[in-house]
Order: sequence, then structure tokens, then C-alpha cells
Amino acid sequence: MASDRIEDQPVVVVENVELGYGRIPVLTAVRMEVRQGDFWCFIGPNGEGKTTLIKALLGAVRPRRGQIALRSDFMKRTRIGFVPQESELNPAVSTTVQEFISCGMIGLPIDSSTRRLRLEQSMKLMEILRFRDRRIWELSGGQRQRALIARALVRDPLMMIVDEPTAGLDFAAAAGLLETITQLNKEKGITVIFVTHDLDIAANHSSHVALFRGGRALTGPTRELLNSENLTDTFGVSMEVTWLKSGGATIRSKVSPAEHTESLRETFLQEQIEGAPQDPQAPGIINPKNFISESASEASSERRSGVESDSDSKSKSAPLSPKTLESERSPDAAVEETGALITSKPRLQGIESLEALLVKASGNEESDSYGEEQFDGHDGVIEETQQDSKQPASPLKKSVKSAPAKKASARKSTTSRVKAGTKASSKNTAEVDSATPVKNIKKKSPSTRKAGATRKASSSSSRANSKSSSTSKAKPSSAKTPRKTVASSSKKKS
Amino acid sequence: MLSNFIESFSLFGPTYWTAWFAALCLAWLGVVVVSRNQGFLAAALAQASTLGIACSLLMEWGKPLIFSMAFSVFAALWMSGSSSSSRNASRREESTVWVFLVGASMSTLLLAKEPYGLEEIQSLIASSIVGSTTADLWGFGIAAVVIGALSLTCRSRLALLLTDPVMASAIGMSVRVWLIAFAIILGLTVGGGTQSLGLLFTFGCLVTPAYSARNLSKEIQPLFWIAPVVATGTVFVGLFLSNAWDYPPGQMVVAVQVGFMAMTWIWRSFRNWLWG
Repeated sequence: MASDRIEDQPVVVVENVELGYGRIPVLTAVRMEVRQGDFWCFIGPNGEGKTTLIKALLGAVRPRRGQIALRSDFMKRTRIGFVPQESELNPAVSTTVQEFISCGMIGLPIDSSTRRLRLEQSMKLMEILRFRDRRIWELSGGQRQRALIARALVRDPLMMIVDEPTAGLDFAAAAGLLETITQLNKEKGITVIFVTHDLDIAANHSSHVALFRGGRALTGPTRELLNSENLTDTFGVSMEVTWLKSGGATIRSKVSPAEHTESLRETFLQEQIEGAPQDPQAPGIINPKNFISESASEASSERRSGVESDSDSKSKSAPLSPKTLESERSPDAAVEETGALITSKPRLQGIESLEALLVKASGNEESDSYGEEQFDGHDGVIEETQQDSKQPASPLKKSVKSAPAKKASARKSTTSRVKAGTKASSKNTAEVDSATPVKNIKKKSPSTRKAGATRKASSSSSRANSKSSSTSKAKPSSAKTPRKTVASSSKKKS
Repeated sequence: MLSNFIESFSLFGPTYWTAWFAALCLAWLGVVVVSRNQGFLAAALAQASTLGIACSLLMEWGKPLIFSMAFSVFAALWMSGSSSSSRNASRREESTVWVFLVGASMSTLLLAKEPYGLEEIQSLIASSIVGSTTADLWGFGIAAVVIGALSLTCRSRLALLLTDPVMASAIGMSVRVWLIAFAIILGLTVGGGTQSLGLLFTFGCLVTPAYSARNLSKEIQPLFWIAPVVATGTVFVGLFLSNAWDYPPGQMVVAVQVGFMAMTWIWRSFRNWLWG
């Protein structure tokens, strides 16, 4: 029997809607039904219409066909809170945090004392009360996102539409924001529509998902839609979804490292044949110098004898060429790299050696030299298990290993750089860049390997998209990995 | 000096009052222009209205004010249409530059072979505010009341519209309607200002009080109070100095405004240094 209670009626019904800008269609035949207390995640590659659909829900974009029906108590949109992408804001406007949040109450029929109360409460809730008189553009990214959420909360919303709130935030800030939004959904029953690239969030927090691809939106309950087939269709990368008994899911990319390594190898060889550009940091260029020095440093981190040499510093300043590689990289040369004393290096003989390393790296090494570590081939993300986090935090102190282990780790470190590069290669910027060696040594620490780190692709797409600019800025794609690793393990610990 | 200035009211009273009212209108509109990062748009509009006046003189239709306003409104709407999305910033700049250059070059070319044509254009550019009439005074007086009332009552909505247009849509504001309405009001005011008070004075009063106010205040809503106060004050000082030292009033007003703007930069740096 159908209930007459307003709470049981859908909040938003989207019926066969077509959206677009000018003559360009963005989405066609969109159907969805949002009910009170739902947690929707909009997932899909960039430019597939996620933001367009939420703009349509907000009334900023008018459907070309079909209709978007709001429940009667939502008709005036007074109780819809919207958290836009930061890029939607106008940086030319000078405004303080307090004024910015107050703007969220425009159009609400409430008196000034209620306004003040709501303002204060929302700022307290989001822990930005002390920044109330500061300019919004003087805040950090995380604080500004909190201000955006506070502005949505002052409307006392029944529904919150949140557009990529974690984009560009560090792990701790992103986790804090997600926790707040999840709490609002669970404790206050606020309906949430959350646009994200993070499949982890979708798998573990959402009740419903909308998958955007090719101008279509596939909508429905998360359990039904979040499967390997749909995700593979959505992202164009083979993915595996494993639902856990606890209710969450593990999502992994099934792209083999060989495919990515092969593409990197081809790019590198082509650059060498055609004449590589002089700028080793230019996007789309493999920088063999960094590649080698990193693999060497990581290999040598396995067994340090405390001898240092300046050969690496020479190689840093010298222009890259196969000859340079051959002449300057003697097998036993010791190097000093950012404070880590390194003694061993793989023998590299110009292109041949590098190519050999790449070919080796493309083999099945994750099964032997990785130990228990699994590689998704999509992103350089290592997520440590709880056991990892209990290991001592100084990998540099326990890096003495036997010679075979050194070789294996040299191969491994090469592969790991390629892995980090796969993210770049997937963005047509096949760049193996100069990540800080110390970080990478930490990342590949014996303790990490012992405990059997697993790689997840779930959060990788988030980073791959949100940090797409980082590849072009020659920012190490793997540089963020250790931070997340640490943060996630410490969270698990707690 | 002050008594001389007061005495000059008998002769230049309408001119002074027109300058004040026009400065008030332009200062309120300037807050929106500056907050949208469209300072150069004002210059382009002023040039478009100059082109309108040139066309009117060439055709000998005898309605320079109407042509000036029509060209200015048309240019404002066109530029507003090409800049409705913040992502179209480069297209917006391109169209603004195009309007500015077309206005500047064509207005001179059209009248180059006409008797007194170039003098007309030069006097417009030189901002000879002394030529304003009683009709100008009434026009800008009414405009100041209307624009002031709208700005002050809608300042919170304007603040949201300027900060976050998507959120403004979400609360039911029709961003498109607001922007079109603003473009029309801006076009009419700039067109009227250019014809009555000249290009330099119009452009100066539109942007400099708003920029100065932005340097003085951390928030956007107070700008709707500060900018008109700055405009009125600087116009008074400019007129007073031009009368005392016998300099052209339009240029003197703008010189005072840019001087004040430079002082607000110093103040802003000092404030940042003092309070962070």
C-alpha cells in the first residue's frame, strides 16, 4: 500500500532527461529517483556530465527534454545545500569566511538572531570559527572546503549536493570531510549526492550510484551496479570488484604491468630514435636519469655500507645521453642521494641496459620479487595492511640484504617506477619523474614488503583525475603514495 | 579657495551635480564590474558608446545620446552573453578587446573626413564635463536614486551571484536574467556618461572607486557603501582642485581617484603587515 507520508515520497525524480550546453548534448535519457536518506555517488571520468546533472538538479541548467521533479518541500530549493567545486567560485570577490557562509542563508525566511545562531553553529561544526574574519582565499584548501560545507549547512538542508569536495585535499583533510558528510547522512538523515572519482567512497559509503559514460547515466543501488562489468565500461579499464561480508567492497584494476611497461618502453625508445627533447622534465618524456638513479637508490637502500661518492651528483647535472649513462654509472659506484647513503647500483649500459630493465620489469616480477605485494598496474598506490603499520617506521635502518635480494630489489624498484609512471602514461604523459628517493625507499621498505602490501585501484582513479595536473607539473605521481599509506595505516591503527 | 569654489556653483552647479550623480551611479555599478574582474570591460563600453556618437554625427541624425546608449547596451549584452560562464574567461577577454579596438579605431576613422569630426571625438575622450546640461543632471539624479536603491537592497544577493553563480541558481536566482539586467543598466549608464561627461571620467568613476573600496574592505557587501563614498569624495576634491588651480575638471577628478587608489594599496599593505 502506498504511503501518503511526504517522507516516503522521492525527493527528486529525474525522468528521461536530456542535458546539454548550446547544441552540444552532454547527457541523454537520464533516469533516477532519489529518496530521503539516500547517499548517492556520481562516478565517472571527467567531462561525462556529473556536474551538469547536479547543476540541473539545482536548477542552474534547464533540461532540453524530460523533467526533473522535486518533492513539494524541496520545490523552492530552500533546503538544498550545495557544495560546489572550488573552481566554481570567483576569486576576484573579496569576502571573509563569515560573509561567505552568511551568503548561504540568502532567500531563507528566518530572522537575524536565527541567522547568527546558524552561522555560529555551522562554523563550530566545521571547526572554522577561528577563521571567521579571515579572507576566504587566505584559507588552505581543506579549510575552504569546510567553509563551503558550512555554507551548505546554514541552510539546514534536507539534501546536500557535494561536487568533488575531496579533490585537491590531502588524505587527512579528505577523510575528515568524508566523515562529516557521512555523519550528516547517517545521524541527521540528510540525503547526499556526492560527486567523486573515488571508488572507495562509492563502494563503502553510498547506497546508490550513478555511473556516467558516453552521455548516459546508469543509476541504481550500489550493490547492484558497482560490479566489474559496469566499472570496466565506465572507466575503460578492466576492474575487479569483490564485495566483502562486512558490506564494503574491494575494487582493483586488472591491467597488467606488462601492458603499461610496454607502452613506456615504446615511448622511451621512440624518443631516443627521434631525438629526445632537452628538457627532461617535459611532460610525456621518460627521464631515464631519474629512472636509473631512483632504481639505483632503491636497490642500494637494501644494503648500505656507508660509502659515498659524487658520481650521482654528476649524473644529476650532466645532460642525459646513453653515453653518459654508460660512462658515469659504474657498477660499484656509491652515491649519495638526499641524505641516504647508497652503495650499490645496477650495471647500466646505456639504452640496452635500460631496455633490459624495462623488459625485465614487464615480466611477472610481482609474483616473485614482490612477495605478497600485488600490483594493480593502474596506480602507484600501496595500501599497507594493519600489520604494516605496526612495523618500525624507519625502513632505512633495516636495509641490509644479500646480493640476490639486491638484484631482485633493483628489478623491483625499476618496476615500481614504471608503475608510478603508468598513471602518467594513462594520461598520455609517460613521465618517470624525479620523486624524492628517500620517500621511495620508505615506500619500498622491507617492512612493507614483509607484511604484504596490497595495491588498490579503488582510490586510484580519484587521484588520477584530481591530480591530473600534477603530472604536467612534473610532480612525482608516487610522491603522495607514502603519505596516504601512512595516513591510512595510522587510521586503521587508531 | 573654498569660497571661490562655492562661488563657481552659480556657473557650474549643474555640471558639478551631474558629475556627483554620475560618479555615484558608476561607483555602484563598478563594484559588480570589478568583482567580476571586468575592469577593462568598462573601457570597451565607453569606446563603444563613442562609436555610437560618431555614427550619429556621421549620419547627422542629431541624437548622439540615444546612439551612445544603444551602442553601449548592445556591446554590454554581447560581452555578457559571451561571458556567462566563468570558464569562458579567454573568450570574454577576446570580445572585450575587440569591442575596445573597434570603438577606438572606427570612431576616429568615421569622422576623419568630416568638418569638426575629430574635434568632437577628442572632446569626448578628453572628458569635458563642463558641457553637461540640466537634462543630464536630472537623468543622472534619477539614475543614482534607482541604482543606489537596487544596489543597497540587493547587495547580499549580488554578493552571492558574484561569488558563486551556481549556488545563486540553487536558491532560485535566475543568473541569466540578473546578468542581462545588469548589462542593460551598465550600458545605459556608461553610454549616457560617455556622451555627457566623456570617456575618461566615465571609465575612471566606474572602476577606481570600486578598486579602492576593495582595498579598504575585506568583504564584498560593504563595498556598496564604501565605493560611492569614495566616488563622491574624490569627485569633490577633483572639482575643487581643478577650480583652484584652473585645470580641466574631468582629468583632475580621475587624477585624484587614481591617487587615492594608490593610497589604498599602501593601506592594504600596511594592514596586512600589521594584522596579517
